[in-house]
Amino acid sequence: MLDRRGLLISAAHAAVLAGLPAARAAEGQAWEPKKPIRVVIGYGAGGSTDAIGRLTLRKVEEQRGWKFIVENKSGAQGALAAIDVKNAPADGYTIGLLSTGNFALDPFLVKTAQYMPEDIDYIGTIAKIEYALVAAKDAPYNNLVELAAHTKKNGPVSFSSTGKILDLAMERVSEKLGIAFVSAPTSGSAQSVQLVLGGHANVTISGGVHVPYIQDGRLKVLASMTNGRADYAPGVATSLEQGGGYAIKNYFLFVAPKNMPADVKATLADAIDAAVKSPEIGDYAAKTFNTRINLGAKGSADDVMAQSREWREWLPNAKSAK
Amino acid sequence: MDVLANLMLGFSTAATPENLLYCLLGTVLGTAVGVLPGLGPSTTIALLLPFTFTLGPTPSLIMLAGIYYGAQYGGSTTAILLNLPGEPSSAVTALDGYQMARQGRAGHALAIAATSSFAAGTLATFVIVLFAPVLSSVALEFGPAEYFSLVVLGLIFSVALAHGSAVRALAMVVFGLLLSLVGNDVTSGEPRFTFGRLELADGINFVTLSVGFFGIAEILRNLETEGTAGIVTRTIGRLLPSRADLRACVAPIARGTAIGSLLGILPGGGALLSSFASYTLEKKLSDTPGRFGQGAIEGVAGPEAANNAGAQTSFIPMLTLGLPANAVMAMMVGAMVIQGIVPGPNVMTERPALFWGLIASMWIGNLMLLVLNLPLVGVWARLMTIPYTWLFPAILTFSAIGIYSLNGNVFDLYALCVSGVLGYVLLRLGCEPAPFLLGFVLGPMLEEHMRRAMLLSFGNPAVFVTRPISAGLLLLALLALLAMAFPAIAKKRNKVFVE
Repeated sequence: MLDRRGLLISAAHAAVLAGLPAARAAEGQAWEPKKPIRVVIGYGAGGSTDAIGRLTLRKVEEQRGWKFIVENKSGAQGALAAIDVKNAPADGYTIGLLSTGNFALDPFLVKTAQYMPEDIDYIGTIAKIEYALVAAKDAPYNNLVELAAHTKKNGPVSFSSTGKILDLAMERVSEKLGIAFVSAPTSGSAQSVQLVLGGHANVTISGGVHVPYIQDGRLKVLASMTNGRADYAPGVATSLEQGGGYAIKNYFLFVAPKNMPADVKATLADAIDAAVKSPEIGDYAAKTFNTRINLGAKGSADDVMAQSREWREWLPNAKSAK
Repeated sequence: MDVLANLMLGFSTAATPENLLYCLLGTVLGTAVGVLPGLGPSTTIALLLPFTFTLGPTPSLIMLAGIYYGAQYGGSTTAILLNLPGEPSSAVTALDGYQMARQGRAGHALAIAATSSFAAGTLATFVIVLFAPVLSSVALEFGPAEYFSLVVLGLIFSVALAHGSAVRALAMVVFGLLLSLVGNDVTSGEPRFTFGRLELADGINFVTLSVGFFGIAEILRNLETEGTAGIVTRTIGRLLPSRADLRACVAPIARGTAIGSLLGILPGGGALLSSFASYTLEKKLSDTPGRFGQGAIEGVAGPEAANNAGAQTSFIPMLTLGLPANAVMAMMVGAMVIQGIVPGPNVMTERPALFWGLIASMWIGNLMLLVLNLPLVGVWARLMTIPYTWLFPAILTFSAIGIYSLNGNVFDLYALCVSGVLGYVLLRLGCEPAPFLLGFVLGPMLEEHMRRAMLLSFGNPAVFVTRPISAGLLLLALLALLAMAFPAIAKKRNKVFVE
């Protein structure tokens, strides 16, 4: 008897306890993290993703009083970080910072993908990465057409690549204009740029790390690889203007394990949005020649899905993806 | 005059009370975490990183740097006393340092490690002041082909670490290389040899392997010979090295510093290779190479100097090119970026106070370490007098806690058990762990740079021999290999003659 009553009472307790969080969420009371949130960054420390990501997280810490523990997991060009996020518990205590290409493109490039764009929740973007194709100052070509002519005469150029999306962007443009190149993957944009600076690779596509070297005259821009010209090289046409036919749309993208509770996801998305909107992030994005923009949770997810459909259509024709 | 002005600027920045305090804090903290096996500087710096946001850029970098070289220091202490190298570079210190400790010369070994570190740190500070701008351009000259050849040379050198059969040492290097292939492919991200275990996606953890191979295996071996005399000494011995010892170490320290300063500027394992290279060199130059591995004091002094000099010069590529040499440096880059400083060619010119202040603080930090640790040598050395019945369970417990805290993963504990048993079996077979560990650590670099070099040369392997630096390194490796092979051939001939 006693046992049964005890059971009943505890069942009632459990019901009350279980009801509480739901009631709170309904009242619009935001979720509050009770311990530090782990952030897995899919690129090496000091690279452009890491830099802007840490700054954004720091802003959130200031604004909300939360704590983040950042982990740089740069293996396999972000795949390890994406898998890490996918397999983490969806409780809001693990999020990831990668880029659009890691989800819209990368899973379709490996034989046994360990994650798909559908396996992940998207919570917002920090900025659009303004890529440029750069070469050493004394390279015998100044734009895509000259580069194409050069490779026709002298054979392929070497290309240090920081990610598959950059590889394929180079391939799409090259296909159109007849540029021959060989790609060598590196573990970060700092390393890619260093290879060009040291004369070990001819060209690279970089999203910001190269700018100081453009300004000190050691590197030059051959083409802006997004749909606008670079502020620091306004005289150089975009790849679209030069007939390359493709512009990269890649964002610094916050992701989380699938199926987070709605209040957790909304809180995280709000916190990130507020930080991205702060003047510091705007300044920093401008300083590193990226465009600050948060597509929001839904916008980011839609963008990833749209781009993934586009890549799935194009990829079967790609040479390098086979 | 520039040099003097830079040094003055550096010391005036580093010697403010605030910066001195954070330097002290960093070195003490670093020593403490270095002494605990498993808990390394990367974990500590990661935990402390958020704290540095509130500090200015200079004190926070000074503190993080202090943790880094303080931990190198503490790592040497456990390597010498307990045969537990927490960092790859202290694996070399364990070779002769632990033997010295077993012979009752723990105090000597600890004191000489401290002294050589300090001497090398002092010299390396001047090297940086004089050559930093030149050195950063040398680092640019190093492309994938050069790195590949450097790693090959390092692997060949590592054979000299073993006393005994060169063939066995080579086999151990290859075994290490093979194990390092476990994990996701560097280029494509496809999993290799992971048997579907996600825990193996990042490969086998170095700390797990080294604690297993050195620490656990050593315990197992000691248990086997329980009761025999001479395993453990109950005496600490004289603490401070004799004048003769110091004199014997002057040249190894100088050579170690030179090697360390040079290799340290190469991002990615340069500092690590330097301690191996220094050990090899000292063994080759010694009149009595047989003593190496049996407690030769030069085998502690040279590598410790190289290690410390390399740790300091490895700040050059980090500060001037934004290229981190290891996980700790990567976190330092992160710390700088958070402070709004983008590492690159402009740091030295735009932030001279930060740059030179950091360099000067390293010298001050090394001095602090020396002053702090020399009196502590006696305390540490007394660890050796703890009876094994207490010491062994304690080591096992701390190792297990340390390993678990790396990733919070029980799988790592099983891996620790397996590597402990494997290490013991290999010890019984007369195969030594040091060349194995070097193969394991350098394997991923070897693969990454080889594949990158081949891609960049459009598949032409000639790139390794047509580039002068790469060719030079490979030639050196070949000579080292021949030097090893010839005595063996000569010996065989002699035998034939006798028969």
